Amino acid sequence: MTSNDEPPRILIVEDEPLIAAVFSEVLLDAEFAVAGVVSKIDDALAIIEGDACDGAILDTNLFGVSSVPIAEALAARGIRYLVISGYLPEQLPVMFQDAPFLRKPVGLEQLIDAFRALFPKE
Amino acid sequence: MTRGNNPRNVVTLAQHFEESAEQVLDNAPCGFISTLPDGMIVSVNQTFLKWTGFDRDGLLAGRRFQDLLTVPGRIFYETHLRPLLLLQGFVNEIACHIACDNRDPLPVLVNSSLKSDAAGHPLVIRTTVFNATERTNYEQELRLARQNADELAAIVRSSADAIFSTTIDGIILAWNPAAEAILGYSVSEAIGQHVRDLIFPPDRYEEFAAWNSRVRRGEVQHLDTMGKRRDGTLVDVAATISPIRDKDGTVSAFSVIFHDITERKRAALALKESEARFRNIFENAAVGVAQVALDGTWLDVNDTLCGIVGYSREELLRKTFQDITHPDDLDADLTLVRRLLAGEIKIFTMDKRYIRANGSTVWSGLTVSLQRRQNGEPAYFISIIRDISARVHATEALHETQARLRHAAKNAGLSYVVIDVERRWICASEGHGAVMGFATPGLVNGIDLDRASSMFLDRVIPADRRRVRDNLQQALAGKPVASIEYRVRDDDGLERWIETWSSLETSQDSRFARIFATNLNISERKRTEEHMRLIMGEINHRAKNLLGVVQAVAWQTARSGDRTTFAARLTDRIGSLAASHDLLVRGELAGVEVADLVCAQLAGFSAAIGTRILLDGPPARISPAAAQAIGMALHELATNATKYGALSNADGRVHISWHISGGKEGLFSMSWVESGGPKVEPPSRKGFGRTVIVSMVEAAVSGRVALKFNKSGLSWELQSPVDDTLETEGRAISPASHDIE
Repeated sequence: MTSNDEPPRILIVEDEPLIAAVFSEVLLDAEFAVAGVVSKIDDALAIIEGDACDGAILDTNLFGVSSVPIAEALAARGIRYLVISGYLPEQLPVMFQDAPFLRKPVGLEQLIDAFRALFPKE
Repeated sequence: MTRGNNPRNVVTLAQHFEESAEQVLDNAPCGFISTLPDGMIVSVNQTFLKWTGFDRDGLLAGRRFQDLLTVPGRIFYETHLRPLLLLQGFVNEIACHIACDNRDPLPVLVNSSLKSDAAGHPLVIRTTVFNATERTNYEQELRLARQNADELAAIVRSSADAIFSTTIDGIILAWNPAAEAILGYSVSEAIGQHVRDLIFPPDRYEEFAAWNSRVRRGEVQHLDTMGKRRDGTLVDVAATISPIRDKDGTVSAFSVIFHDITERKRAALALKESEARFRNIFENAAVGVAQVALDGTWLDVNDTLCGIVGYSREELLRKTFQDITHPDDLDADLTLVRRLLAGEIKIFTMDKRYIRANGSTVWSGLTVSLQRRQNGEPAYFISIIRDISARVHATEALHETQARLRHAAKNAGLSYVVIDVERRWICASEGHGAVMGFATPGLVNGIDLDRASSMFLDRVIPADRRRVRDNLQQALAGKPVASIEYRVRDDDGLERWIETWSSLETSQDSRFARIFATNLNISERKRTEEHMRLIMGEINHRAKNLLGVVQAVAWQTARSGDRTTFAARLTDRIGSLAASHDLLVRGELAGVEVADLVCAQLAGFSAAIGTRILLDGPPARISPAAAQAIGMALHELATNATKYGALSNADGRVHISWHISGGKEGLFSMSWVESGGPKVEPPSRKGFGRTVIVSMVEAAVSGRVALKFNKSGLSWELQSPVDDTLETEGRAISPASHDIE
């Protein structure tokens, strides 16, 4: 975890690079740090297990592969994250249903609001 | 009266007195007998003796006249004749009979007179006897004739038949009451009328007239005709015309009798109708009906029977039932016939075979009863013969239907099982094992239900087992069940989807009896459904994703360029996305040929392709995600080349090439190399275009992009793992695993 004066490091797990790039820029604009942009489970797990992130944006489907293992890793470490998906929330595995959910296409202001809610400033 | 006289003297005196008369009258045409007042015969003439056969000496030896009479005559003599004679001195014309010696009694008329002496004492009775044979006969005849005439008249009067007489010309002479009743004419109306007016139709009278001469010759004629009544109505009559002869024997008139035969005709008609009706029933019966003689000869047969055994009526009537009975069935038949004749049974029924005329065999249901005469003697058999080959045919048809069902089931990939609930027995169609993917020994011929159920449930995969068991229990309890889909493990160890439809059959007594269950292997359908579901999910997912991309493109475009060209740039980029997407859809989301992707993104330069723009590479399909990123990068490269690079002048060229090295584990390389364009200078800042052609592509395909601004022109080179870039087999649709529940 980071100290309070360091911005939270957000891991972007998204298989669509254009969208990931936008998320990245929007988060930076909102004074979050970006821990990485990944589109593969192994890459995401490496960052999570290396304690290199404080929060995450998690797309539920990475090139057709479910990202449940990433959600499990995040939950295991108590890392706060947002779930984004083109699927409806009720279509998703239970594992995804504990975290805040944003439906694609994601409103960028909603995204920032959601992260500010997850990481409130003292 | 003789009291006080000496009898001997009296006799002597009387003999003497009569002697001369005796002589004279001995041969007179009448008999003379003289007797004493007590009847003692004292003299008799020859004529009397001749008539009666007595002999004179016998009579004179003390016989009395009254002793010669028959018993009634003697009584009459004693009680009437003698007292009257003694009283008045004579009796005349007394009819009585002499009981002749050895002859028939002789009818006689007796006249007697009493001769008395001077003192008035009776002395002798003189009796004259006339032979009354002739007269008696005549009187008898006369009396009979009169009696006959009276009787005839009475008969004619009281006859129910119309009786009348006509002249030989047909004019009516006499008319009885029945004639009046039947024909409606009174006596006075009828007499004088012509008989032709009573006959209908008129031509019938011609016939009638033709017989006139025959009747005149003395023949009696009969004819059935119609009588015409006074009121014009008609009556059926049997007419009898007979001759009436006069004293000379000449036919002088006709006697006509009309017998009303309306009733007879009606009865005859009714009988005829009744016979016709029975004949009709007999002939048109749906079953064979025959009258059979005791020896087995067919006496009468109907057409149906002829049809069953294939013989014509004439042929059949020349045969016996034994002739055409199948040899194997004859003994049983004859045994039953004997019992029927013996009265042990009233009727019998058996199924037997006949040999038809063409030699084929026909099964029939036979019912035989015996008709007896009034005295109880057997008369003939009545046989009812049903053709039961229809039953046989029905059975055959059933087999045929079952065979068709089996074939249909087999061809449709269907199988069925039939469960006999009460017997707890189950059997299956032949294709059952093939449909289910596993064989159950003995099931086609039927096995115990519990054993079969247990074997079946073992094959159902555990996740579905409870559901299937419940469904089966429900069906066995007689409750309607819905169709059920479930998975079984087949002999190859693979899961197979089966759909089973059960229907409950109820027997005639409304008791639930059987379950008929149809099974269908629906694995293929399930796969298709699953595929469809994945595609739908994928389309939804991709649409959302695409919108996210559009959103991102719009955001980036807005951020990095001139506000006045925003709309144009955004439209171009969305167009690029759309072009790639078109290809993806056309390729059924199974990737895009590299060349197609390039051409789609360079659609604005299609005329230059092959000249200024060269494409060079092997067939390769780029995966959907990579196609979007690479397509967009190509679009950005083309936009840049148009604005600043090789496509901004008239001479520049672009060489686009790609190749694959090292197979599936290898690398995909693709390059965009410009030449002949204006002098290139590296851009001062990194815009969205740069993001797209470098970092976005790299992220999308886990690759590396080398972007160089050479003096000869821009060069862009991508290297990425084949696995991340190209479509490989089996990944046409690769849903997220959470998509399958």
